[in-house]
Amino acid sequence: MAKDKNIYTVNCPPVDTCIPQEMIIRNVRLAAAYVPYQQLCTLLSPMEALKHGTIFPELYSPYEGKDKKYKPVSKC
Amino acid sequence: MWTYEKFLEYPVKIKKPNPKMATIVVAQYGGPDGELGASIRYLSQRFSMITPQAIATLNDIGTEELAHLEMVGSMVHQLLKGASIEEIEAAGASAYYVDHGRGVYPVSASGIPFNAGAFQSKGDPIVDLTENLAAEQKARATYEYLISVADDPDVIEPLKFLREREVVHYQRFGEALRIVQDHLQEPHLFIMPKTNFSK
Amino acid sequence: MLEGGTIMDAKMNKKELLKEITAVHFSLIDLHLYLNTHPTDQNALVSYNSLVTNARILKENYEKFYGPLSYGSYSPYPWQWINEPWPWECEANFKLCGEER
Repeated sequence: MAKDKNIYTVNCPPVDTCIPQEMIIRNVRLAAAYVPYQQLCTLLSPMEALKHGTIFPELYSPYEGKDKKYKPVSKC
Repeated sequence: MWTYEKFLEYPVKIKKPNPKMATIVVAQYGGPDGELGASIRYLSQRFSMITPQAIATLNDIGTEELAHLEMVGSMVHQLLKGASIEEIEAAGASAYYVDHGRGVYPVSASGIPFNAGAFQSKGDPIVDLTENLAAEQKARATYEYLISVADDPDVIEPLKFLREREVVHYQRFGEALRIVQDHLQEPHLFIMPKTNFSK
Repeated sequence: MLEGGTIMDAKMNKKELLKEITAVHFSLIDLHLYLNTHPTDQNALVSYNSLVTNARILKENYEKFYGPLSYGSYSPYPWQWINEPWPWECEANFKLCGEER
């Protein structure tokens, strides 16, 4: 049925989307910590990188302070 | 060895002096979770680290922390420069002023001079990298507290930059830890010394 | 004898150049750290090396007019390295957004 087809395809990212990190970590052991490896997808331009504090968009973590109004980084 | 580039990693341009902020921001200069501790920690740990990737990571993040130390020092300097004695007194910064004038000196926010007890260099690669993950989180949280307290955008912008760098460093140390763990779990070939039966 | 706008233009140029150098140098640093844990990422290495080329051109340009930015750079007479302002002074810095005031 057409509807069944949608359930399987509608929320999946296209196959060629670059995921900037490993999503599955194999052979993990007890009593060890695991941070997923980052993988390069896109880079910001140098000026954008400086404003964000990193050249990697996936590592950008906005923080505006408790209860402060959110101000997006690119607005000058 | 080190070289010096005559510009800050991120610009610090604070037009309005604020002695109160100066005595708080200085926490990231000489405080337990600050950049001085971070740089000496990583630059000390690198001597006993294993795997080329992890050694390079310690070396280079330690170096970047020195650049951050310079930024924080610049912030303290600009926050004090041009402040009158009355402003300093009104801000409750007289104690710092009496000890250091409008100079920059490594103390915590409560005035305790920098203490190497704030960090460890255990000589064990897993210990040191785990310590570093914690250190980056502590620094990130401290910057968040500072950003919440500050209200001058000229102060907030460099603090936000520095906070983001801690997030990135955490990721790098996490990757270094993975590399070291994988290395330690690999079987390695050892050559048994030959027994001398003639004795 | 300098014409009307030239001195201001030279100063604007200095801050603009420094802004570019800061941005490219920082991007280089971030990629450098990534490469330390991803030494076999070819795309990252290509991007890094092209930033290096970029940074060298910008620095050479700046140093031609405004003196050395790091150890190992040429200086005209007299010794320019000691010039003020040093990077921790307000005057040496720029706002990331907008014009210099």
